[in-house]
Amino acid sequence: MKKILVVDDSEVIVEVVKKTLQMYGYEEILNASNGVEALEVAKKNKGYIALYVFDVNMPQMDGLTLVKEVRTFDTTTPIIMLTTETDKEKMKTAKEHGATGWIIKPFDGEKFIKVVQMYLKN
Amino acid sequence: MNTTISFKTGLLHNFEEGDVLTLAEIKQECEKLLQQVKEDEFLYHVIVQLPQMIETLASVPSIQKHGISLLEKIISQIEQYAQSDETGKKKAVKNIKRHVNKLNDSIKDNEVVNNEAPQQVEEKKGYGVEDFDHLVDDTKLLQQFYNEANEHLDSAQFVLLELEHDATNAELINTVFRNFHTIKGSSSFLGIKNIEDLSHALEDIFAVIRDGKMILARELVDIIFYGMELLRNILDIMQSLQFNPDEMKKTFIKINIAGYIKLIKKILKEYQYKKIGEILQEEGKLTRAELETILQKQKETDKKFGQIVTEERLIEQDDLLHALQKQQKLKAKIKKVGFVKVSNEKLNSLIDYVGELVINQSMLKQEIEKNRTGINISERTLSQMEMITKSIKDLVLSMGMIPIEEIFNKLRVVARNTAQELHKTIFLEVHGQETELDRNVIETIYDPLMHIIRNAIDHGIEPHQERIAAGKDSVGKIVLTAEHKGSGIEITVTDDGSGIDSKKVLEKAIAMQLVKKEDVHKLTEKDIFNFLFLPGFSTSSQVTAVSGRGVGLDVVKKGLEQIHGRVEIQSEPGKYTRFIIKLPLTLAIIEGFVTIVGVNKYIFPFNAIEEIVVFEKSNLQKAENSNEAILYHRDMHIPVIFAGDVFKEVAGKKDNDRLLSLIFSFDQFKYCVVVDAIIGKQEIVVKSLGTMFRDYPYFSGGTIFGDGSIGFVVDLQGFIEAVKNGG
Repeated sequence: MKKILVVDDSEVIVEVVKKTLQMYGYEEILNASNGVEALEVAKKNKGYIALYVFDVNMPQMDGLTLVKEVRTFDTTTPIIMLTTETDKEKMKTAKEHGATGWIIKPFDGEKFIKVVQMYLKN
Repeated sequence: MNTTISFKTGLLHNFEEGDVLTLAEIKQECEKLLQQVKEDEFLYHVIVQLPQMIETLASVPSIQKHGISLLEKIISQIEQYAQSDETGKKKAVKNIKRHVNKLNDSIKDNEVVNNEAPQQVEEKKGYGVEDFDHLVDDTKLLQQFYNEANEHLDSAQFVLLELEHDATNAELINTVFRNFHTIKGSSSFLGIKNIEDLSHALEDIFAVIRDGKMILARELVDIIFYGMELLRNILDIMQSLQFNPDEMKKTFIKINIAGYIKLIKKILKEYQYKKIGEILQEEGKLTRAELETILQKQKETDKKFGQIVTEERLIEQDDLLHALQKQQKLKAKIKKVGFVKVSNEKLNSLIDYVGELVINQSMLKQEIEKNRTGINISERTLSQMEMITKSIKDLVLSMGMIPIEEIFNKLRVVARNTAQELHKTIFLEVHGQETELDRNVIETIYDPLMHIIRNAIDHGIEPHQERIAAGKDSVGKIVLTAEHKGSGIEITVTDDGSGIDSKKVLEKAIAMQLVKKEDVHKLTEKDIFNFLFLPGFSTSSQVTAVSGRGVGLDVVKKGLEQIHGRVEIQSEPGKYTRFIIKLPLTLAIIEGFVTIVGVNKYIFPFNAIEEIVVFEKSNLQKAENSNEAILYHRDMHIPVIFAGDVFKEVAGKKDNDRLLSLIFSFDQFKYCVVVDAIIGKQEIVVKSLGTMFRDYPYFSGGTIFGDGSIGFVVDLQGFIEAVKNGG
């Protein structure tokens, strides 16, 4: 089964996302708390990741750079950015770097799952 | 029926590119909508596609805005549709369809772009059950898809045939592309993975051809036709399983199309003409972004690609050279089969002149052999010239030859439509479609074959229930074949239907006074079936819209006789009916039977002659009501025609006691034609007689013999009509 990689510097958010996903039957979840770590995990699991969920503002390597890096070896897997109302400009950059879409925080678990389901048919 | 529609249209207005939450909500709305319109077949069929379209949109941000605005239009039209009366609905349907297609297209076009990105797709060996997990559990929809896909295949087939003569016509190429594109689209929505993959492969070919990177060569057309045949087979399987999804899954995993798809991929990879930039990008020497910059510069500055690349120092000279070489190699690999269009008229006169050349050559040969020219020409030169002449003749005749495939393809369409009209299920098997014959023959043969096939489906193939009761396969089978036999071609149409009962035919023939009861024992099976070709003779008890008014078979026979063809029937009640058609390969050269009447040579069509009879003049009888002479031969009364009278040959030798005659069978009647002498069977190059002979309808042409003498080619139908009118 393919995996979902969730990256956020807030452990709470990672936990919430993980729990929500598990509740709906998505068992294989990878996580990281910053861009550098995330990049390592992504490279190691190349070909086995079905969806990326990245926070925008993170220490060491932010979400925007992370998108750019991931896109150098994976051009097709969808990348969803977790963002806030004030990040509009950054979203434009993310898009240019190859992000697939964004979700504004805070979000409701059920709606989030709908998005995941839209990308992961199986 | 009015359906109430509710849809949170606000989601559509406020949508922004990349807003996946809203997108997911829109998808959910579409799913809800689907539940609301379950009762309405049309709406259901449209809306069932939408959730999946949105899923695709979700992965391609750049087209989301456009896609959602189209969706907005679709939704508002659906609302309109739901509230309209019948006429309003029709209008709305059109609009909805148009916009759904637009949406579909913009999504698909972008998917193609996506596919260019490297993907780790392992090679498929065959299909497993899991490949059909998404197979829609809706018999009605599958049935609809079946009809739709077949329509598209029919269209593609027609257009492809035209493309064979006009390989670069962009409009035609696009039509075929759209056909496969639509099949691919709808099959993917219904989860019919194998059809999706196949039509995708075919679509890819046409995308490449459309972009001018490959030429639609003859060999490629064959491959495409093969793929279409595969598609049709899968569709037919769906139908024979009555669109039961579970049965379909079971059967689908046994069908292996991987080999074909691999072949297509290989062709696309190896024979595609590539732009130099594409090669460099493929080899990793240029990035996509760099490539785009260069292409932009190229547009602006009019400079050559290589020039810009070197100026910008983007790649090494060696790499560029290497890529150029690779491109050249690819270019050489793309086989160009060039065609030159020649008018029929020119081709026909070429054939005419070659006929004359052949005649002249043999005249020359005779003269030299008799040494009348006084010139010494060696045996070798002479035989060489003969050989060359023959090669030219064969080549020119072959130019006018086309494969019978064209007609067979049209007949497939006829068979399908007829079966649908009659609510029967048939399978048409075709053999020998590559067999070539004269263009003029091909033109005439379509109508008779169409009649036969429609007849076979209407009267031959039994209704579903009857077939099952008889222990037959519920799907009726019709086999269409063509093959070379002797100097001609034989075409057969066999159906595995109810067959023809020769007893019934005979009864009817007796009732119609076509044969006397006491003569019945003399008739062979073939003779009996031949009654079926008489005008007004039909054993069918019902009259249907398709056939069965007793017209048809006599038309078939007449049509075939025009081109010196013959037809006969074989059948076994309850098992099969077979039509066997024998045709000459070409109309320019016929098998003639040369006779002498008076001082001239007359050529009769050889295949119409039944026997040669010599009889005493005293054996002739007079008919009761007229002066007509009658010959009693093999227990039959046959009218006697003196060819000399018809041809107005005054110097005939009518006073002979022993008469030499040919017995002809024409239109089910026999005729005895008296001639003066017989030369024998010969290949005759038929030449037009020109307008001077307009008043002689019983000649179809003339010929020149090797010795320089001329002969007249007799048209049997005109000949017999002339006799009837004259007497």
